[in-house]
Amino acid sequence: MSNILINFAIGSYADPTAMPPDRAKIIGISRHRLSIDGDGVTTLVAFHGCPLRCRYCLNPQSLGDSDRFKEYTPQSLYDEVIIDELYFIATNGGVTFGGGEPALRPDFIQRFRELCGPSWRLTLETSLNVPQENIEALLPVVDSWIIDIKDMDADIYRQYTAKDNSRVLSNLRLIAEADRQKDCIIRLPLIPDYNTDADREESRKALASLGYSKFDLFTYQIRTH
Amino acid sequence: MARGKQTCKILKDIRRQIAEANDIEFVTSECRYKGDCLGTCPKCEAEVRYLEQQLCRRQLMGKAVVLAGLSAGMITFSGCGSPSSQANDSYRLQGEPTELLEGDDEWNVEGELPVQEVIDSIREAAMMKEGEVANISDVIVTQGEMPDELPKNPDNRDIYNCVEQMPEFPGGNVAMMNFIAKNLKYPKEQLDSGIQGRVVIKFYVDTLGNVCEPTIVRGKDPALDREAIRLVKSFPQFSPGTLNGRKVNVWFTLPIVFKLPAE
Repeated sequence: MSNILINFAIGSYADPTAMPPDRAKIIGISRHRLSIDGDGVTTLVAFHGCPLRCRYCLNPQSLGDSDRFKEYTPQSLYDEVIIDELYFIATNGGVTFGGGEPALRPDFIQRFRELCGPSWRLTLETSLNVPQENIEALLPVVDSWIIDIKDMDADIYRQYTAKDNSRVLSNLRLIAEADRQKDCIIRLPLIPDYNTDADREESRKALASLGYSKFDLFTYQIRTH
Repeated sequence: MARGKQTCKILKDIRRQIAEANDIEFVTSECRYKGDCLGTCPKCEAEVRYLEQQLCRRQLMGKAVVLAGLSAGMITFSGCGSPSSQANDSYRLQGEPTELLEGDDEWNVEGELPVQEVIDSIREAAMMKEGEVANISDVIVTQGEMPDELPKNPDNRDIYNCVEQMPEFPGGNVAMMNFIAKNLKYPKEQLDSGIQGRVVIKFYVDTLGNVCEPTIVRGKDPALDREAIRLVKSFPQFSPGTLNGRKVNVWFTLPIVFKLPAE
């Protein structure tokens, strides 16, 4: 018994990819979001677990040491969100996967797509800082992408997230090679004390050169405790 | 208007639009839920279930159902066009996420509407990325862009969703329901363990009237699903659907209800 408890505390819950393929930790489900994160009426499903450690993270409960989540299988999630199917179909809406980092769980999202069929719009809100094979697996499954690139500059990115952004850049190229830029909205945040408008303009130019054209500029607000 | 009430109003407008487009009588009343209705109060949910039931009935009667993308434009107009609603969102996002999900009861965003602040914090703060924010859309408005295309009719396999004359079971819908009632075999194990419910199955009727590719759209239980598939595969030939007098392949959705016999 004690072994199980130790594993619980140290191992499996620190790493979202350690979950069994048919289960995911979800920190929240929010219905009836109207054009907040995706077209039409959407239900936001927020995954637990994120590879980044952003300075202004507003969702620390999505990080590894949190136990504020509920486990779902693709089927149990589908059974819960199908209640709004009528709205999804009538408004070209569907489910937006956020987090945390939903792109850590392509297996789960693929299975969910099999259950919900092609008529729901699936949107991913992601940092793209995940292995390339995850994005390759998600490309045929996800309709729309909301990509938060933080800043294209490697140093700014590292200072703000404590992680390297080379995977973000290669995944942006991957999506561009698949000619899916039109399905992407790129979030270009102004991050107080980390980047400037000039940095954002640089980011925008770099992204435009890859063929991305939809941008969402806004300012990160610093969370007050 | 409070955001919850606005959501409630928009959802109701969507329901009304669906009803009107499908000739469904839609009697609604003002939502009297006290507090900030989120569109999830029992009355609003009941209206959705009623619409689903009516749409299913239409399909069962072989009538076309108008639904996909029907209300797409509405949300762009109501939800996103207003800078004030955006500002309102950003204001609410300043909630304290750390208070979320402290207990199982608070988890349940749907259903019985627990304490309002909890819902608000779950809805607004729990799942946003850092920096949530005032979407100062000073460049390009990206949110709420709605595709204005309807699903292809026919689809890329030349199978139609809606046609003038839908495929018909020989003898009509009453005959089909009788056929189902007579030939449906309730799996014994599910019967014994009291498993009942509705399985929605989709297939297309080809130009020869054959039932093709039956698949489960909404399953209930593996054995019930299998029985629904078996039953549909045993259907006699339909009269094919027609469009402009020409026989065409048409998708057909059929709910099959497994109901335990009354004690």
